[in-house]
Amino acid sequence: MAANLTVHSPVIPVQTTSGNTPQTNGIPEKASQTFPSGAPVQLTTGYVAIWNGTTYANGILGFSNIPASNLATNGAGAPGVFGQIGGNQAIQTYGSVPNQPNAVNIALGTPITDGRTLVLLANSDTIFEIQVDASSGGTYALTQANVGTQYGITIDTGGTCYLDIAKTTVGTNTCAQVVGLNPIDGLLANGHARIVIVAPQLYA
Amino acid sequence: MTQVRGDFAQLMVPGLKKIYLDADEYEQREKQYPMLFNVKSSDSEFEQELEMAGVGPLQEKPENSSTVYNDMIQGGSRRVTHLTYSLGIRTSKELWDDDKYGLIKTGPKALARSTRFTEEVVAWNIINNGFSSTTGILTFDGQALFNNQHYLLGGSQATNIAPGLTNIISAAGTYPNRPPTDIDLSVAGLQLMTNYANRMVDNQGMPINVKFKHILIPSELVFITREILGSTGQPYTADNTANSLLPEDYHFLVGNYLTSGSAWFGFADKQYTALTVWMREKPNTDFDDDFDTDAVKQKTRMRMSASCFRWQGVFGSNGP
Repeated sequence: MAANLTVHSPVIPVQTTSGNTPQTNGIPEKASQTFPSGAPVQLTTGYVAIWNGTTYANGILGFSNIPASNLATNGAGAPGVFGQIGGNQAIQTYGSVPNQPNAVNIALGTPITDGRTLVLLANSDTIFEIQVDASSGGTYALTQANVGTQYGITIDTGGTCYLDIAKTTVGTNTCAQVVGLNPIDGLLANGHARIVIVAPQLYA
Repeated sequence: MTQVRGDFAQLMVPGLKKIYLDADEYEQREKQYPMLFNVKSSDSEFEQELEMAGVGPLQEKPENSSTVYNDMIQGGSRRVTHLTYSLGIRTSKELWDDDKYGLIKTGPKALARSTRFTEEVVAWNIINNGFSSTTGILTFDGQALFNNQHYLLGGSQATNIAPGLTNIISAAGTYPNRPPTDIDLSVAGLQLMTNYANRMVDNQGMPINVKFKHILIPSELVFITREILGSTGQPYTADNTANSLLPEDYHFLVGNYLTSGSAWFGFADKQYTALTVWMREKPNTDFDDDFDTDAVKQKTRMRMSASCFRWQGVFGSNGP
């Protein structure tokens, strides 16, 4: 039986143990990425890409804070030292410019792109909230007794992900530990759980 | 990290005759970028600009025939996004209190120096990186700022219309603001640059009134520039020919933030160029104490960017 939902809420940081602001970093984005905000990401040859979905130990860098820009090349446009953002600085251009093959029309209002993506780093301080589902079986809700348990994460068809309570083999397919439940829907089917990433890609 | 007493043990007791603190010993150079860059404020995440071309010259109309109509041309657009620059100093309360010389409390002076430097480098890197389309900004036509073939919106018709361009351009429909082969700062180089300015055209190939006034050089070229522009006779010749560059009234500026020792540049007065420094948030300093550790935090931040989307009025040669 597949997951109950086809798309899931973006993963968001809801608390930190220290009380500080969740640690965020701007890291050059890998080419051709289309992940949405709140998706699990990893570093691939130093660039941020969607998490491969299979590396549970030291696999998840964090969760995207902004959508990917679908860059043509790795880190396209990222500013150099004391430099400006390069390229077109925008994610959407249209048409062409007469007699100027390299010129572009930047759609007014289109968001900027700077070759980087903001990542909410999955350090031990940050507590994320993630929707609960199961890739197999017919139970889609946690109970209070599940707090403290480790589960896996599965990427859905929309590019976000869910806490997969069908993945329970610690050391094999788990990466998130439940540290609490959302007080409103935490005990309901497809409710939200609060987690920390057990063995993130950095801070391992 | 946090500055603690162990790292500044010399400051804990009186007795030092003099402390040479950078910020006290040497003044920084005056702000240089406002000499060439237009400084504008911004209240947005980014600024976007557009280039437009007018129409070509009038066309002869035979008797009783219809008037010919032409369209203005919308060119490319460019965007500059402001970046945030920030730096802080964190000092333990114990060091803050026990420093007998008051130097630790001069953090804001140090931050001000850092801010000045950052502003300058951000601005001058528009020029330093101007020969590259990957590290530098792109002009409206999508080329590097200094390029031998800037595309005119009027295309080859523009260069056909423009008077006398065959000796200057290397491709139809383009105009250079960089030599086809980079040339050293020299009499020939300055003459070439002068001719580029005198022949410069708009996007429809009609001459425009561009006059390069400022020769920007690195310190390595100061002496040769003085020789070239300071001689009443033609430099490096034994005959009595006049120095034909003198009537151009070029002023040279030494750019202390230029990175190349051989690249040199020409600029019109800044109101005739698109060189711009955008100040989204002026440098500002803030202080706070950390409640738990009592450490003193000093921080300076600003948001700014720099751009030059139009190539007219600027010239660059990357030495060889």
